Amino acid sequence: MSASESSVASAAAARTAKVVSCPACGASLTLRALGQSVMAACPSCQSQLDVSRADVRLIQRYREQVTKLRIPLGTRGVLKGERFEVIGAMQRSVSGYRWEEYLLFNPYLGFRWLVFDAGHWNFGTMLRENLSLSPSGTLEYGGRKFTKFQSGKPVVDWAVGEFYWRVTAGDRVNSSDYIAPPFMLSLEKADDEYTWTQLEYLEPDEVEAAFHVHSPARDNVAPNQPNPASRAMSRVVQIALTALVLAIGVQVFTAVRARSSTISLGNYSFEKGVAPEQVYGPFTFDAPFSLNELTASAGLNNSWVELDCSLVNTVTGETREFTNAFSFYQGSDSDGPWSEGDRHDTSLLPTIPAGTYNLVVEGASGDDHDQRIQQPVSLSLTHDVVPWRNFWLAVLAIVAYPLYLALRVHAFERQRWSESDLSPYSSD
Amino acid sequence: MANRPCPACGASVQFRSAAPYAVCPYCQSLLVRRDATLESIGRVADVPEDFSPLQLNTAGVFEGRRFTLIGRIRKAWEQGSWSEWCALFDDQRLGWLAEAQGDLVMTFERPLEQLTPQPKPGALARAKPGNNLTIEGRRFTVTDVKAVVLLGAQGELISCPPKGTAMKSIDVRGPGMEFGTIEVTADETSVFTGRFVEFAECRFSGLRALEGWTPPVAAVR
Repeated sequence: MSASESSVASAAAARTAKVVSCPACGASLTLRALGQSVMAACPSCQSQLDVSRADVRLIQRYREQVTKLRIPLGTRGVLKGERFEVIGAMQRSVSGYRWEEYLLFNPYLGFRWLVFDAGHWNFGTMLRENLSLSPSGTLEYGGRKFTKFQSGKPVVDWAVGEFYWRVTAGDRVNSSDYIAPPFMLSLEKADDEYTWTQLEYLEPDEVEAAFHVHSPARDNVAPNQPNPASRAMSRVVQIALTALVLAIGVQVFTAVRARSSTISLGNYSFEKGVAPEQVYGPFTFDAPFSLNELTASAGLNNSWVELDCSLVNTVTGETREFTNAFSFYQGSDSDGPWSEGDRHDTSLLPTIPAGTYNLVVEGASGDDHDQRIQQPVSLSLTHDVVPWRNFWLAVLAIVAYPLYLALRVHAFERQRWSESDLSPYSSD
Repeated sequence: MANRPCPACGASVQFRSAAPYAVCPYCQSLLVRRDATLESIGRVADVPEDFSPLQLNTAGVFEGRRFTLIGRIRKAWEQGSWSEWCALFDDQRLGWLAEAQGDLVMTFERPLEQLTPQPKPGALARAKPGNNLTIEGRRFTVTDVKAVVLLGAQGELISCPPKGTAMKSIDVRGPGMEFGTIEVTADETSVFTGRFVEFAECRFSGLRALEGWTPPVAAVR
C-alpha cells in the first residue's frame, strides 16, 4: 500500500467516473473508462451513444428494455488477484443458444472479459500475439497444445454499458474455439480483423465470491472445463506407480529368498486293515514363519476324499489343524459328457514357525456305492512357497482406483466432446 | 532543460529534450524549433479528459533504459481515439508509447529506406489488411488501416501534424509481440516499429492517482 501511495503523484486523485446526460432521454449515465470507451448504452432507454469525443452523440435509439443483468454495471470484484469493474455487458447467441459477456476494466490493466455460459464462467484476456495454426489445424500457445473444438457465427443480441469498439445488436463474427483445459483460445474474424482471446475456466464459487453473483448449477460440461477425474488421476497415478513398484519389489525379494523345497510324504491308504490315523515325518521347516502347501491327489472317479490334518511341532506340541478335501464326478446326459470337481486339493499353511514337525492325517472317503476308495492318496508338502495370491490382491487393490478414475476421465471427455461436431468420440 | 518564451503569448515554455515540437501550456500554440528560433504554427486543442493512469512526467523503464513522458498527442479515427506519449530516454533518444484499449506499445522511428517494398507515391494509402512488408529486415503484416485526425496535444513532441491534416495510420504486426505503425500524410511518410509492453514491466513511477483504484503492486517501484 505504502509503495503504491508513494509512487503516484501527490496531487488529488483524478476522478474515474464521469457523468454525462443521454441525448435521447436526458437521463444521466456514468462513464467508467473515459478515453478508452467509444460507445456506451444509456441504462434508462438503452440508446447507444458515441462517447469517443467530448460531446456525447446518439448512435441508435432503443426502446426495448434489456434483461436485468446478472452482474450490475459498476460492480467491482477481484479476479486472478486484480480488481476489475464491470463496465459493459452483452448477450451473444448462435442459433438460439445464448451466453453473456461482461466487459471488465481496470485503468492500469485495461480490459478483460467475464463470460457466463450455462452455469460456467470464463476469464478472457485478449492476446496481442498473432497466433498461427499448424497445417494439421492444431495450435500451440504458452507451451500448451490446443485442439479445435467448434466454430460458429455468433451474433450480438443486445449490449449495454461501455465498450471500446462500436458494438451493435446484429453484429456477427466468425469464431473458432481451440481447447486445452482449463484454457480455450477463441479466434474471432470480422472483416479484416483477427482477434485472439484466451479464456481461462473459473470455478463458479470464484466468481460468486468476487462479484456476489448467483451462479446456477452446471448441467453440462464446458469446452475447457478441467476434467475433475484427471486432476484426481494426476495425484493418484504417482502414488499407484510407487505402490506397484514397491509390491513388485517385495514380491521379487520374497520369491528370490523363498526355499520352495518339496518334501515327499508318501501315500495315505484307505485299504482295509490300515489304521485311519497315519503319521508322516518328522520333517524340518527351516525358514521362519513360512508359507507352506500341502497337496493331496488321487485318481478319483465319482468319489470324494476328506483328510483331517494336524501339523504337530515335535518339540512344543503346538498343533495347526486343517482340512484338505476334494471330489471328482463325471458322467453324461442329454447335453453330452460332464465332469465336476478336482482330483487334488492344496491347503495353504501360513506363518508356520521354524522347527521339526509331524503331519497326522485321518482320512475319510466314499464312492458312488458309499464304499471307501481303493486308490492311494499321494501327499506332498512344499516348504516356504512364494505367496502369489497376496501379491495379486495387492496389485488389484493398487490398480482398482486408477482404473475407476480412467473410466471417469473418459466419461467426462465424452460428455465434453458431445457438444462439438469435431468429437473424437463421434465414431463410436 | 531550458525555458524559452512562447512567440505567441510570451509565457515561458519548458524544453527538456531536442524534440522539434512543443505545445505552449498557456495558449495551446503549437511551437516548432527552427535552429535558434521558436515559431508558432497555429493552435491545437488540449487533450480531452480521460482516465489514463499515465501523465506528463510519469517515469518508466523499457528494456533496462529509463524514460520520462514529456508530451502526448491524442488521435481519433471514425470510431474512437487513442493516446501516444512522447518518451524521452536518458540518452536523449525519443520514442512513442501508444496507449490504446488498455494496451501499451513502445515504438521508435525507423528510416523510411528500411521499409521494403519501397512505397510508390500514394501506394501506402491503399494498403490493405493482410499485405506483407518488411521493415529493417523483419516481416510485418498489415492489420489495420485507418483515417486519422489529431484530437489534441500537450508537452514536447517528436512530431505533430498541424490541425486539420488528413492522415492514414497503418498498423502492422510482426512476429510475437512486435508491432509497427506507418503514418502517411500528403507530404510525409514515417515508419515506427517496436513491441507491446506490459504495464508491470515498465515499473512506472509518478503515475496519476485514480480515485478508487490502486496500481498493480508489481507495477510500482
